[in-house]
Amino acid sequence: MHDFFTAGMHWQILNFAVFIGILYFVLKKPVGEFWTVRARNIGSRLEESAKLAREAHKKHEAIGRRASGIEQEAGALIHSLEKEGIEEKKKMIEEAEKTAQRIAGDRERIIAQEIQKARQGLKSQVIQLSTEMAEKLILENLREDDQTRLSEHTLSQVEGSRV
Amino acid sequence: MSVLGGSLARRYARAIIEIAKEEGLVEKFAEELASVDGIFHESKENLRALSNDFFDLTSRLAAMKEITEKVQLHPLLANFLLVLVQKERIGFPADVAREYQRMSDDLLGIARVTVTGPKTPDTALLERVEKILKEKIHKKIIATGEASPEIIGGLLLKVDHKIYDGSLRNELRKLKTSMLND
Repeated sequence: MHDFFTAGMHWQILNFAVFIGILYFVLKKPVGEFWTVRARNIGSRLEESAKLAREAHKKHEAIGRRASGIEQEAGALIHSLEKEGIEEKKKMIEEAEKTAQRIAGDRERIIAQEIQKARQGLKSQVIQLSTEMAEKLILENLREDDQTRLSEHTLSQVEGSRV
Repeated sequence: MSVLGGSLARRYARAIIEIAKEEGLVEKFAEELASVDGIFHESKENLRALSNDFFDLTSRLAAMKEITEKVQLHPLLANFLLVLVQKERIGFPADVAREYQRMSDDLLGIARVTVTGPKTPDTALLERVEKILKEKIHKKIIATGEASPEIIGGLLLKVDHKIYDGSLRNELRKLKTSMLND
C-alpha cells in the first residue's frame, strides 16, 4: 500500500481532482440546462402521448360503437336479404312450376294437334283412294241402262228444281 | 276474245240486228251468220287469206264476194262481210256471230242449252230436255249435245249461266267433300 501511493501518484490524483472540479464548474450549467430541457421535453411528450392515448381511446370507443351499429345493421340487412331471398326462391319455384305446367300443356296440345293432323291426312288419303276406286269401278261396270237411269234422274231433278 | 274485239264485235252485232229488226230478218240473219261462222271455222286458211296483206284488197274482196254468193247470203249480210274485209276486221266473224246470236236469242225469246253426257246425247234426249226446260223457263229451247267422258255418267246441263250438274263426277265430288267434312 505504501508502495502503491508514491509521490507521483499523489500529483496525478490531485490533477484529476482539479480536472474534475473544472469540468464540474464548466459543465454544471449546460448539463443542468440539458437535463432540464430533456425533462421538459420528456414531460411534454408524455403529455402528448397521454393525449394521443385518450384520443385513440375515444376513437376506439367510437369505432366500437360504430362497429356495434354496423353489426346491427349488417344483422338487419342479412335478415332482410334472407327474407327477400326466401320470397324470391318461393316466387322462382312458383314461376318454374307454372312454366312446367304450361310446357306440359303446350306439349299435350301440340301432340293432340299432330295426331289430329295425321288422322286428317290419313283420312284424306283413304277418301282419295276410295273415290278413285269408286270411279274406276263405276267406269268398269256402268252400262247403257245405268246411264239412261242417271239421265232420267238428272231430268227429274231439273223438272223439280226452281228456276 | 279480246276486250277490244268483244267490244267491236258487239257494236257490229248491234248494227246488224238493228237492220235485221227493221227488215224482219232477225232469225234468218242468225242462221246465215252461224253458217258463215261454220265455214270459217272449218276452213281457217280462208279466213287467214282474207285478212292477209300479202294479197291485195281487190282480190280479197272478190274472194269474199264469191263465198257470199255460194252461201247465198242476204245482200245486207254480204255487204257487211265485205266491209269487214275492207276495214281489216274480218279476223273475228265468230265473235260477231256469237254476239249476234246472244242478242237475237234475247229478242226472239230463245234459250240455248248444252247437254253433256259421257257420250253425245241422242236427239230424243235433247228433245226431252227442250220440252222440260221450255215448261220451266217459258222460252224456246235449242238444245245441243256434247260428249265428255270426264263426267263418267249422268248429264250436265248448261242454260245461259245456270248449270244443272247430275253427273257422277259431281256426285263423287260431293261424296268426297261430305266424307272429308265428317
